[in-house]
Amino acid sequence: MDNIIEVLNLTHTYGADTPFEHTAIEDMSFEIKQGEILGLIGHTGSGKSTLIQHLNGLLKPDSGMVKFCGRDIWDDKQFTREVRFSVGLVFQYPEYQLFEETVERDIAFGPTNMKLSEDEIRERVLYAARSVGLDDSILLKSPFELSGGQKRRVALAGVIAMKPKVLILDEPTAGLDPEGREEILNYIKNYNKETGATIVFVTHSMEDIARVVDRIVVLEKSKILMTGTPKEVFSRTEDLIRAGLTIPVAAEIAGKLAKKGIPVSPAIYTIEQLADAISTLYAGGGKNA
Amino acid sequence: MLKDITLGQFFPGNSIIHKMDPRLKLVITVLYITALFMCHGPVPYIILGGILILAVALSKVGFRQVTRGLKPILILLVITTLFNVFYTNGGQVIFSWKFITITDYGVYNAFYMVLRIALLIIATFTLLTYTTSPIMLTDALESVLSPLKKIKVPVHELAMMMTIALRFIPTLLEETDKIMSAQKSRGADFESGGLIRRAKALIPILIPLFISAFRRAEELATAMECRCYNGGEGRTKLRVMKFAMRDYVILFVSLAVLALAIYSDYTCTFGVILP
Repeated sequence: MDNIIEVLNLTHTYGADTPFEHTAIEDMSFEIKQGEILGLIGHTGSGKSTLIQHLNGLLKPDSGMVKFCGRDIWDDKQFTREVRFSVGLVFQYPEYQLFEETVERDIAFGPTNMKLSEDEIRERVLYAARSVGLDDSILLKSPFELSGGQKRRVALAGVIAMKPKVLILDEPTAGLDPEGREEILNYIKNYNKETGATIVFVTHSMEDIARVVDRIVVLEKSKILMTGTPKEVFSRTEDLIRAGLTIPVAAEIAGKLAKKGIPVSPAIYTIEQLADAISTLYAGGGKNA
Repeated sequence: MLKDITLGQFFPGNSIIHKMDPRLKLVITVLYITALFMCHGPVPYIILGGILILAVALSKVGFRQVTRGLKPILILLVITTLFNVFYTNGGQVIFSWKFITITDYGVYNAFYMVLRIALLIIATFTLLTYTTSPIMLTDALESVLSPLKKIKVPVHELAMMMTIALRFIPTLLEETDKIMSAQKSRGADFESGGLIRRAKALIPILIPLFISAFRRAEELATAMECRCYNGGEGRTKLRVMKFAMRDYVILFVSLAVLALAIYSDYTCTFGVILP
């Protein structure tokens, strides 16, 4: 797999040379692979939000570099603008950024800025709305009369309509009920499968990330604490807890059972895996007795 | 870019000026401004300027911050100078060309007007906004204006409104920043195009901003009502303002200096007497 985004020795400091100086990212390097779903986890204040704003050129690195498809995104102005469209960024609580009179026009905001043709815009709006499960009948309504979950999906569609090659989502499930969370996660997974787009999923909740992502980057205090598959990351329970992160309930139970001498793999992190492991144990135990 | 706005900035500190009772600061500032506009000649201004320099030094805010505070009113100062120089009549003509006449009165007037405004701004900055937290300031304002309650002026409510407004300035700036980033991510362009295009580009920021301001206002109102807030009647305060011995000393010293300035203005004979 090729790297679609490379982050090289990235450092960003807020309010340099004032009493409020604060380094949000310090000498960070990692890569995002074409087509993967990457989880970016970190405690509040670990530098997640600052990092993702570098990935689509909203913030300029103080030192270091962000490369998109092998090219520095600050190479020239035109390229930076292209990157804005190729790397779609969905902020936390994106529903607060809706402004148009109708849902359709709000979703069309991005594609319109891309200067696409009328037909192309129309087609993309319909595509984006459907890909997040919005009914066509909603398109002519005002975004402000929708429910919270619907607004969130409209905002998501607004970014998907630009058909970005990389979709970055900052806490996309925050403040939603379990059903809403499940839906959003499914739409994201489907988008990845259908279009082959790369997804970066930013969260502090392990529960969400465990089932969805291929690889995880854990941030702690403006640095990378570890990188790996969910299996690798969740088996390092103690490091995660020290970084102020909660671990999936299944991983926690597996860890506790293992400590008591019950032969459960510490690499378990979903409820299904745990249930399987325990039932095999019971089946095996029954035979032996 | 919005982070650079230093509206009513407060520099926390522990100097004697910081520790002064905020009500005292308020009263002295008003008296100082009154004295500024009562005086004319050089002697009173040396006294008034001197005490202000002392206050700035005591506050430990730094002269650089204070002069920086003057930058936004530079245009005002320039306009004041021009108006006073060209539109003052009387006195000796020192320059004349066609319809433009400049008199010595005009130059004196311009000089003192600019000096007054500059000192006024520096005084309010050092004594009030730089060294007093906004909450203390509104508390002081409420306390000083409380006699007006007798004639049914809603002093507490006004002070509360001010506190809330000040409290939400940074919040709304942060929110604006966030909304701008989000719209930029969708390709919004705020930096190019003519005036009309730029104005139009603000719509995607202003609408979400207004909506969120209203939402915050409503949430805050609900939260306040849930905690049985019902205005000023019988309300006690967390921080009770108290006059310390230090404050009395400062009060008498500043009253004496201000009185001296005004007195010198009336008796000084070598100063230029202006209307």
